[in-house]
Amino acid sequence: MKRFQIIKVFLALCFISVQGLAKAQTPSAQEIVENADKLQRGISNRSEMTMKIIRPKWERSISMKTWSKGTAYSMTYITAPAKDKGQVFMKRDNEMWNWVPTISRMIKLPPSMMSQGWMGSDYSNDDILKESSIVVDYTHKIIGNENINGIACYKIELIPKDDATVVWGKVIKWISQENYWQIKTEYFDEDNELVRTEIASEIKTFGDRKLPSKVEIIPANKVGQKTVIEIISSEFNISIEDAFFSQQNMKRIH
Amino acid sequence: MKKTILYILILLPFINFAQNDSLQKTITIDFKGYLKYMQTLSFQDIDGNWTTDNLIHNRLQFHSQIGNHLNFDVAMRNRIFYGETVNLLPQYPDFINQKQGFLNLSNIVFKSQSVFMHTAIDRLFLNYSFGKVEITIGRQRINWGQTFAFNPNDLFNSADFFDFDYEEKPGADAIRIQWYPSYTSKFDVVAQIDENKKLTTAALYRFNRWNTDIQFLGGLYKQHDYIVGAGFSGNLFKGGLRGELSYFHPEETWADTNGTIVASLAYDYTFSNSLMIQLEALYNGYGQSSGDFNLSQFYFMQISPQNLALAEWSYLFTASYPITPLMSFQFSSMYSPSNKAFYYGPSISYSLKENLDFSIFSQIFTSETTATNGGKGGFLFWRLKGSF
Repeated sequence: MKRFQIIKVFLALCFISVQGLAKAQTPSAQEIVENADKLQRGISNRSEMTMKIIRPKWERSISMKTWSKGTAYSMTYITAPAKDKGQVFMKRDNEMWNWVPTISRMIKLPPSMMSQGWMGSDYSNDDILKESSIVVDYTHKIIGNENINGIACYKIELIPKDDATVVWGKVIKWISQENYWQIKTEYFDEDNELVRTEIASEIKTFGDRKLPSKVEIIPANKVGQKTVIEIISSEFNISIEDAFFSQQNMKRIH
Repeated sequence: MKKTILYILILLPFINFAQNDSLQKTITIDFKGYLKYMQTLSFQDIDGNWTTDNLIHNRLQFHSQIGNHLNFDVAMRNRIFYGETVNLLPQYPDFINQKQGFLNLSNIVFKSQSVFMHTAIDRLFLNYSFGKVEITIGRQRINWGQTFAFNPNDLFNSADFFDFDYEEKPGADAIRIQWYPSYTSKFDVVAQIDENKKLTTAALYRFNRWNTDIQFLGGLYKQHDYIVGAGFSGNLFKGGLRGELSYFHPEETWADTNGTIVASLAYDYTFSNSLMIQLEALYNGYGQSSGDFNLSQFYFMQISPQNLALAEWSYLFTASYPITPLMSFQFSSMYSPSNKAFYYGPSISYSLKENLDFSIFSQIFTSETTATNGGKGGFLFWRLKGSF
């Protein structure tokens, strides 16, 4: 416990000094992406969010509470819709379990089952599990400065490294110069065709930081179709023990 | 009414306890359930006579957390039956109201010539947890299964694969102690008493090794058979490979009889387009290796780990695929070479609104035995389900 707190303080200090440094000089593309990633991720996190699938003729939404620690551990509790409420998903390293309280069953999920989406959402599982990293898996280059919705942004091109298992051919991010918010992202396939656009808005204060609370994911060439993620609450760098991510706790969280 | 008072009496001390203790004053109550209407059309021969039945089915589920250590759960099933079977079969209410478990928690609320209502409490338990230990007392679901359709390791509350409308599956009246030595392992000790006052005592140890959940279990089943078993859930080619095996040996005739094995093996794989396939095989040492298939015998059999199927061998194939995000299609089929019985059941489900689903299910059975001898038949169901 103590050691964990020390590491936390250490990491937090590193983070602050990196940011301080970054502000003093013109930051590199790599530093900008790193700061933006850290801002969204934190060492640990607890959030409540709703994902809404919007199609020309219908809408469905799913709400959940999530807890995460680093990239290894995460837990998700479904709060809506009614028929799925109470289901829990836990990821520990590369293994995943699903607790189904209605039948009191702990199901071990094989890797192939993780590719199952929810109601054709535009949000891929790679996004949910955050398996690829915008910092590690890409090379970064500043290709300009642009204003998005009145916010001054660096325009950064991310090209996946040869050995990275990334589904995109290229990613362009607009990251705000002042707060490192990822305001807009465009994802391109390997033929350089735009596949989807993400737009972040509605900046809110979540604990120690301000972040966009709404992200719209708009697939290219699909009129009237999008997925909207709204963060209702979020806390970063909370103290959360490894024991939280246990099968015993899966049955108790709510 | 007497029962209601009983429940209130059970509940009261905990509410008081929670209010008095300043450290544990938080009580949260979760309430959910659904209301379903389902029509069933049954026939021996689709060109022959059809029987129509109706079911209004309501489920209420309460989950309350009292302080940090105590849970209390109640769930009940309220069903109104009407239709031709109710008219034709005066014993139908008694059949539905068969005692399930040691505690008598079900009742016929009203009954007339054409309609009756049945209510049953299938969960009623207190759960107390402290540190790595969890104690559960009452009617609860104890799920030791690893595969999907047939569960030789499920000693306490076997579920019928064909009873798809009972999504929550039955519970067992038991005292259970679970101890979690690590984040992904547990010891589970259970003493269950059934409707015939027979005791099943068994223990299980489950752990995670080589990316696989592995379990070993043993005990005395219904005071007449020793049982040892094992099960696992792992990965193979990114799909799920699961299996269960139970070995039963009669206690009384230990020296001069052989034991019986029941085992299942299953594989599931989800393709990138969300098509999911499941394959499952069951070996049932208690089953018949040959003989005629009889649908009503099959359909109304009491499922238990010693009676998961009539036949010695059964093979199941299931595929499900979302045709559109709102509409999903499922196909399942089963074959038993022992009695040459074949089952297939296509079904379709459509999400009408956020909490409203429409589904059509079918179950068709054929065999070499003729329809008049009970070897063929089928059911068509359509259902509207509103969840809250």
